[in-house]
Amino acid sequence: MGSFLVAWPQRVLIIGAFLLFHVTQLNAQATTREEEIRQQRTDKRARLWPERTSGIVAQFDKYTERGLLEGAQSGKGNNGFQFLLGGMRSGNGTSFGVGYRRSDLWGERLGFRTTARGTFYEAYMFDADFNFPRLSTRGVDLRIYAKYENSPQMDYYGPGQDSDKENRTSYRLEDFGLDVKGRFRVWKGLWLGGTGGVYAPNTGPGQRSGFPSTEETFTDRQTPGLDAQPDFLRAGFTVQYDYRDLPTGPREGGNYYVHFTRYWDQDLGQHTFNYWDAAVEQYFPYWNKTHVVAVRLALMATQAEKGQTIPFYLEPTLGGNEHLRGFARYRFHDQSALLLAVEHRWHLFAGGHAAVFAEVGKVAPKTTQLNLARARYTGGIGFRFTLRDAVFMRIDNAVSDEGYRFMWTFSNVW
Amino acid sequence: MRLKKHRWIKLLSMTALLWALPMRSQKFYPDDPLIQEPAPFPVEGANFRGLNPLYEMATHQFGKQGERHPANGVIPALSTNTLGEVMDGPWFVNRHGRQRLSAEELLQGSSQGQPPSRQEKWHVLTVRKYGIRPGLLIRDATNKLHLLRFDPPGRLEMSTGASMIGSRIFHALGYWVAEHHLVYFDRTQLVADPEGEDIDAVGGVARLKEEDIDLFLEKVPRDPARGFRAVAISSPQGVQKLLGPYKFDGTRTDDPNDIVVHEHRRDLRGLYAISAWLANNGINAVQTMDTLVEEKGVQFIRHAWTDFSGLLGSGFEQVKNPRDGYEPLFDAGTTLKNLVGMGFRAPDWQKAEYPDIRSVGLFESKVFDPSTWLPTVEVAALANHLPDDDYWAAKQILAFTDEDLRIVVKAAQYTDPRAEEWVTQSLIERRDKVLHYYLDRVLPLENFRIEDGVLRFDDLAVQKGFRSPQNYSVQWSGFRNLQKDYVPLQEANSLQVPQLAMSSEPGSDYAARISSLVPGKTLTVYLRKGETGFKSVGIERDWPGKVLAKHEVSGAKPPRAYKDLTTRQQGLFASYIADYNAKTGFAVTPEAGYDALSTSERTTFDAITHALSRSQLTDAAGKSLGTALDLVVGIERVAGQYYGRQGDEQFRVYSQLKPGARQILEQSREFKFSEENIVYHVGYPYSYRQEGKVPNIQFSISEDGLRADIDVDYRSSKLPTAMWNGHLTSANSDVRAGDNYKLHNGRWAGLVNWWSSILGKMPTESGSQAELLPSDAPKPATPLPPNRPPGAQIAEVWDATQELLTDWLVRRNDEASGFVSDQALACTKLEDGADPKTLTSAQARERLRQVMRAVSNEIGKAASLTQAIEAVTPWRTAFRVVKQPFEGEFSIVEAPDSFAEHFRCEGRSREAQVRALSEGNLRYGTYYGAVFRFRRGTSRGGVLALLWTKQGGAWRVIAWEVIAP
Repeated sequence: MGSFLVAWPQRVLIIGAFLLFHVTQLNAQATTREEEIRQQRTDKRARLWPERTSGIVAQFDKYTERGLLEGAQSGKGNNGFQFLLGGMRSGNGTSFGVGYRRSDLWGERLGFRTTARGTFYEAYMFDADFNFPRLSTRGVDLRIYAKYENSPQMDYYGPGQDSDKENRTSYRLEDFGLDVKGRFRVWKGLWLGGTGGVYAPNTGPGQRSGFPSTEETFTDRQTPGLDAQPDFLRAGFTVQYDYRDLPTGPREGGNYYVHFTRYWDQDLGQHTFNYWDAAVEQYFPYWNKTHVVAVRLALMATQAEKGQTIPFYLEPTLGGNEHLRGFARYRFHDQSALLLAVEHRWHLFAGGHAAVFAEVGKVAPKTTQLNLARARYTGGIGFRFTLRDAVFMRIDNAVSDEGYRFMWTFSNVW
Repeated sequence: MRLKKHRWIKLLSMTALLWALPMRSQKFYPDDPLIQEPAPFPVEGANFRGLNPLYEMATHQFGKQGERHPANGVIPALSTNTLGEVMDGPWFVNRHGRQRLSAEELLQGSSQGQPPSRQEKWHVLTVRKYGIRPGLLIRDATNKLHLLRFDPPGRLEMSTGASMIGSRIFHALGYWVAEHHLVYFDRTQLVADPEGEDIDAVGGVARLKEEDIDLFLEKVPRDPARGFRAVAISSPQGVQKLLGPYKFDGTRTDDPNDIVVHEHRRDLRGLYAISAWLANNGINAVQTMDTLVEEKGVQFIRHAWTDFSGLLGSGFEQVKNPRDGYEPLFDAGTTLKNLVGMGFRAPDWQKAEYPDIRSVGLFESKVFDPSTWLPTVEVAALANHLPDDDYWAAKQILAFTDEDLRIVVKAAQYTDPRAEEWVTQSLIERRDKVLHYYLDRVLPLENFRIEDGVLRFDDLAVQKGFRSPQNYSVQWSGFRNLQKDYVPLQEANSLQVPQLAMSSEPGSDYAARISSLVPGKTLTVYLRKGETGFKSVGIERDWPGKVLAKHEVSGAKPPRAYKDLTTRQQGLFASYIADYNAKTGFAVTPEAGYDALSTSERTTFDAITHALSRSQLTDAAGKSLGTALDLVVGIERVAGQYYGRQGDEQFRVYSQLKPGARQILEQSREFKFSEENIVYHVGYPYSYRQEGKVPNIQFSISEDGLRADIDVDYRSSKLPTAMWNGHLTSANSDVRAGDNYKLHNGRWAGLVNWWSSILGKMPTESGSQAELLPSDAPKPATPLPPNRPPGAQIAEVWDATQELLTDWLVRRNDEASGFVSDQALACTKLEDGADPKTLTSAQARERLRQVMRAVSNEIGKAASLTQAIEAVTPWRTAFRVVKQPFEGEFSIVEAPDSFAEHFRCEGRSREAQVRALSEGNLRYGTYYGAVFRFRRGTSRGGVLALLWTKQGGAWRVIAWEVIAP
């Protein structure tokens, strides 16, 4: 009878175990870890689905392949179509527009950018820029730039440091310029260059509501160039030593320049003059460039021969989003201007930093009168938003003895 | 003889019984611990799936990709063996940590092939100048492809050096790595291939010319003596196809071997510690590459790393930023501190000293602190790192000696010896800091063995010299593998193995729980007795505060089962399961298959098939074309909520359509061809959208017209509204989100909101409530009378309340619903928001029972009513509080008749209730309210109010309401 002669309880046990075993086999229970993993893979295999690149990723690829980041650092934007904010004369509303850029035409021999912008206050700007990238790599910059801009709400308070805030007027400035600019690198950051072109301005009644038009308050005698505007030829030279680490968001180095431009009045014989624009900008970083003390000393001066005057719309000005920020735009007009600005900038987060600043400035008829007597002071705090360390947006708050100003702009201060 | 026979039979029975019992639930299998994953399943038809680094950065910074640890605990890593080690497989191979690589192997890394052959010129196939990762793709004389990557301007050797070092280290650690060879060459080595492509500034492709190569090289730094320097990256042997980067969350949907979501893989979570060590601060999925390889005749996907140019002092194509590794891309708190600090607040990292060596970039070790290290953007896998994941990574890092690191750094071939010295020294010091921090976050005990009857192990922290040896206490237990429980062994609390264990039969399991002086920092090692001794089969490491998250299936199940589906729905789902069984060989029933679906998958299937069934199709003449559901003949897949997936990959049903379905939609007046899907619904180009306002059904149909991706859009797709109404998000198609459910029933009546239980609507934290004041619950449990039989006469309303609530929440049986009158069922319908006509009384009563079961499941087992609820007392004096013995658990109030009339389910009016409470001459005695708050563990749940009255001599609940804050 052998092993089959078992007691009844054991027999039940064996049969029961066998049945249970059979049932578990039907349900494919894993008996090893390998089997468990294989079962999980079998389950996954029954539910496979094709992988594909998502449409959103494809769209992102399009933009990142167009030099988006390089364009952000250079301030020129990505290649192809661009959506633009800012970039027009301030005081005429928030500007926006479209542009198109190609940095690689003709085997990178030719770069091209054109934009069209406007504001809700009927200010417009169209420009076109041609440059020659291959020359740049050989230490030569050549650029042809044409711009038409119409700004119907330019502010004018009258001439001089003591102009009255209550004398705010508005005028329209419409101008066209076409210039060829060339420079070559003499040594490291030292550039020498020249410029030449035409400039055709036109002024007219301003459109800022609530304020009189400039010609209603001022005369041509007080405000040269108010009644009639000639066309100009202009030419000049430039000397610049620029060793900033990143011009669109500098944290180290310096930028020293002298630009000279002579304007020849072609029509009226009244407004031939020289324009000097010089500056020393120095950046003192510390703590791994997370903090920067930036200093700027700028001088703008004009010279007119006897019988000639500087048209008011080409005079140096102080006040606005770039200098003497506690004062209204174009608050002070005169034939020369001096500005000293100091900023302390510090890291906030990956995409931005904060700054406290102080500025002092003065306008005067002659450069010899540029001193601290009756100079105007301003200070404030601001926030700068960066992409790859290049500033693309700035929010500044400034105060002066004329009040408080809030600025939201799409450019760096300097 | 007979005795021996009996013993043999007994043994056979026991063995058979053991073998036959359900093995699935056992903790350890006979083949544990696995060292290697099983051979992979073959992969067929895998496609390239691209990722974009900016998009990855944005989605990880501003969204939470992948599944994160829930609030109630942590999810342990899922891709390990029972010892907590990563198995060898397509993700990782234990190399240097298991068996030391030789110096030559360390230096060679993954680059076992040859660098680009110089027998002939290198043919340039592609020039990419403008993208985020510029480079040249070349083909050498052996027809092998190489991607040449260069250093950024002014930083010769920085990126290429980091790439060489990083690739060697990652390879030694165990990751799969592309081949990286350092090459120097002149312009003459390159020639434009006749088929070559130049990618222009707007992504266009033009024929490659020699000058395109010249233009590219003009921007690349050059060694005056040796020429252009680049890293040549190529696929290792056996790679047949590149499939695009892998993500740090989810899995590849076309890879059957990719079964663990990446955010829970230990080898990826462990990258937290490794990235800290190597300063891979900007870790991004695009550093990786899935590759299709063939081994032993089987094609499968191997997951590799290809880009190390962001390691050490290099930040991909520019120098690292000093904040990298110390601050995330954006954090509101840190930004505010920095702002308020006005520039005077300067964390240490801002003052770190870096060498003035351009080839090193920003890389140092003095300020580096692994405890505060942060990736720039926290990818899902890194966000989920736990102390045991970090410990595993630290163990791999531990294998690198100082000399190993010196050898590896030589791969960078720095020209400046100071660079080599600085990088080596920094790696050594950072390694020590990482080990010091991560090694001891759990008990760093390894190499368990029994020697002379004593449990022995190695203490890695002591071996490394981080601390002196410490005493451990041990508690031994027998371990029942099948039941997964422990049988404590008395007086077995030393390292001496208990005698019982020593003399036990082979196959017996024991657990030794080792504790240190730090509470909560313990380690449990599982030992299995074999023929020749003990073997470690499992290790679990605990740390202070570790609480495992409850797995979804062990919590409350949604009160919705296969049997609740309509016949048509059941038919469709059954065919889906039949198809699944055919593919797998499993024998899953439709009921079990439906139970296995997640809640989101069920709601998706339910809502979409419901909408389809309620959508009649008619032609231009008004003739019926059937319903939209009639077009569907099968289900391919139900897509619920998937972390990290786009909106158009979630909340939809992928279906098989009957032939001619597209034509029927074309003919129907109810659907209109809207557009060709270009960006979304990839693979289903033809979009048919239901006419009328949202919600509407969208059929996205495949090219052959036989398959469709069907979803319901609850939010308008029209611009500009779609830009901000959530249409582009997954919530657009989720019936549970926002008011989508109401919108659904507005168009297609009759969908029951079964997924939202009472607790789902209740706030979990009450805060202050407008109408009610909480009272303190007594600490000791209030004694309760014994269970009354159903139908027993109960004199007092508080006793009836107690009986109902105890049956419901403590005894958890269906007797509780016997107290609920039919009138109260209307409240169930109210709660659903469903059309009252759609639910019969029986359906409503069943619905109520389901909800009550769901609530009691959610609360969990309560030993007493005191554990489950606490009293809440209405403050309005119009409610007269009744003294009763269960004041700690619930309040009983007399409710004015006029209030109660407006509290009933039918015709309930909040305004009328408030008015009634302000009246004079209130009448009492007919209605009573019972008010209480649910308790869920240590947190407080929502508040429920029951309205009682006597009907036919018995207390009945005639209405109820969830009190919202």
